[in-house]
Amino acid sequence: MTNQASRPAPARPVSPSISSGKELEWGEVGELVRHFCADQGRHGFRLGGPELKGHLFIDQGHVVHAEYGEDFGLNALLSLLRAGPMRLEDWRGAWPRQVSIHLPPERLLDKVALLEPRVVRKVLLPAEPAPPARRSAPAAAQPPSPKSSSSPPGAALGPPTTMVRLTTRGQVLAARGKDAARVADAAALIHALAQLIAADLGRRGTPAVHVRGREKSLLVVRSEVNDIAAACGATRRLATLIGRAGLG
Amino acid sequence: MTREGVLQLLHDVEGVVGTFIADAQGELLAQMCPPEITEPALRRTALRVARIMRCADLCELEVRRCDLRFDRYQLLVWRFAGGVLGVLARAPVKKRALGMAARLVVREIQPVLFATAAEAEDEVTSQYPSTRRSRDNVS
Repeated sequence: MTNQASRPAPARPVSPSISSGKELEWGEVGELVRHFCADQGRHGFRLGGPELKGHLFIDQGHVVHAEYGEDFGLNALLSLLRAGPMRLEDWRGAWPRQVSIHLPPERLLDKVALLEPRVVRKVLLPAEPAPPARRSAPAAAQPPSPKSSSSPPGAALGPPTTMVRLTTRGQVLAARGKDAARVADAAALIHALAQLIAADLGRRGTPAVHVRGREKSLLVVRSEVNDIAAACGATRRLATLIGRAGLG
Repeated sequence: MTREGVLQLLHDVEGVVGTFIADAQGELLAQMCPPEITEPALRRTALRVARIMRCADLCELEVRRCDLRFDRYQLLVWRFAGGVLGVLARAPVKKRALGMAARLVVREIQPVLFATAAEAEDEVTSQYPSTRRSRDNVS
């Protein structure tokens, strides 16, 4: 493992079903992330794929570090999410000295959604209610976090984001969130209009559109794989994507 | 001050290439754009921007702004009561200065637009004195 750590390992196993060093059944990393980000706890995992091995660290509802083969950070997380079922074990060794993923869960998922529609389908759909906290670590091992209040993670940022991805012909590849169908329709039309505007103004390049309302925004961009990605939700939640689209 | 005179304010901000004002339906009211952007093209653009905003309104956005990026250029559109202000700018866009200039323009353009609308209404109503009289009596 790279980035060996000075941070203490969790004082207890992450859950009664994952005891130290005991092999867990094979499972999807997406499920693991969704499940263990919800309880605001501190969890480390060793992951075994058919060829490569990896680690995943979750702290207070955030994926803070991932390694898979030679990759680490967001690239490793994407590879893990793509990798299919893996052998999952509780990790009680050292923690990474530095975090490699800085995004809060919602932004992380927004980013993953734009990069990997198949992963979105696998990880984000269908939405599940957050499970109850599964750890009862001593106060010394688990200092209270301001984020561990009764409100769900990211609640302060406003309502969840609706995300869709569709082909230029309008076929929806992935969708999640409230009114996803309406957002997909809007994205298809907005993208078409933006292309016509670009042509009329004599400008080249694939257009990106950010429509900003009082609290919500709608972002429509052309993705790396040349289809249309749209996100609609609280402007604060979309800030990273808006900046990445060159419209910040 | 004329509409074009008000738009000139925006051209003092570095990177601004063209500006236009349209009504809420997207009908072009005034513009200051380079000759390579023809007026018909700008009319279509204003209509399409209005459509984008209405489209986003259907997604419950209460639209205030609409920014489009094309390669090194951005079309920034501010919505105000009665219309939209569009600015085509070249990157890097100085958004703070542009935002303030846009606010000034919106503040100054509204009396100009509404005065024109009132004059137009007067021209119409003056052709029908009886209607005007009855309206005056009501008020």
